[in-house]
Amino acid sequence: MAIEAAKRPPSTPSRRALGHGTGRERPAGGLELWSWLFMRVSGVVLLFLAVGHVLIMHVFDGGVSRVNFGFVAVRWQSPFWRTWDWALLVLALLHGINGLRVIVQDYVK
Amino acid sequence: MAKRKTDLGTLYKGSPGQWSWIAHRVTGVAIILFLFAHVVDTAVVGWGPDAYNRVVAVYHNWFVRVLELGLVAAVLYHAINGVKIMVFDFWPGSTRYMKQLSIASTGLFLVAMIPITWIMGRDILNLSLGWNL
Ligand code: HEM
Repeated sequence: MAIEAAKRPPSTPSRRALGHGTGRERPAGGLELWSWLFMRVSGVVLLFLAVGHVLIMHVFDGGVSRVNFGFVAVRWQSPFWRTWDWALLVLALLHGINGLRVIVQDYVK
Repeated sequence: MAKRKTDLGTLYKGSPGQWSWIAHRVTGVAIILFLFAHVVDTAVVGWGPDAYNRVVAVYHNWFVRVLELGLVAAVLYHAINGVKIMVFDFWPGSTRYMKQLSIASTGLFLVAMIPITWIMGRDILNLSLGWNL
């Protein structure tokens, strides 16, 4: 899985000298490139879904102190929130589990 | 991926972005681990009001709400730092301003945490000390 600097096409310059502030280096191709891209695309969507969820459910309007069965029942009557929560769940699971996979690859040969 | 030894040292030390890299990793793992628990507690909705209200009572405990503040901070940090990573990824020239962008994103995170800590911290103090802020 490791892509050595020498085998990388010149279009993807090594970022090693920059350290890790830049995140995972873009893989040269194959499934790993799709995984890299997916982390970024899902990240942009999660920026709205996850940050919005956290602000709405945990910060504004009393946060979790207002959450109980009745609150959830009313909230999930709405197709809008059902879709939001469903998309958030699917994307966060895929993004998070793929992130765990990348981490494991960093430490396991 | 296994042997990512850089000319600057190991995977962990000596690179300018090491702290944000570690923080991004730690917050990402913390969030996904919480998500696993959160799927289970939310699934209890299916057992009706008695069961679900007992479960969410845990989240109303003042100390658990301190942890909740940490979770909110983790999501916010990861989100803002994630944007920073993507800026470097898609506009490679911006890595010249790595230091400035790192300061800007950390600053944005800290500034956003001020009102959030106030809003959530108020509830925590009210619950734990019986105050009326
Ligand atoms: C809120 C918006 C989010 C953005 C903008 C975002 C962005 C990113 C990006 C760009 C990466 C790739 C970093 C790299 O390749 O080095 C990443 C990694 C990761 N993310 Fe997110 N993410 C977000 C939300 C989440 C959520 C909700 C979770 C958990 C469910 C999560 C868990 C992870 C994990 C575990 C990693 C792997 C960390 C690593 O490789 O060091 N992220 N995120």
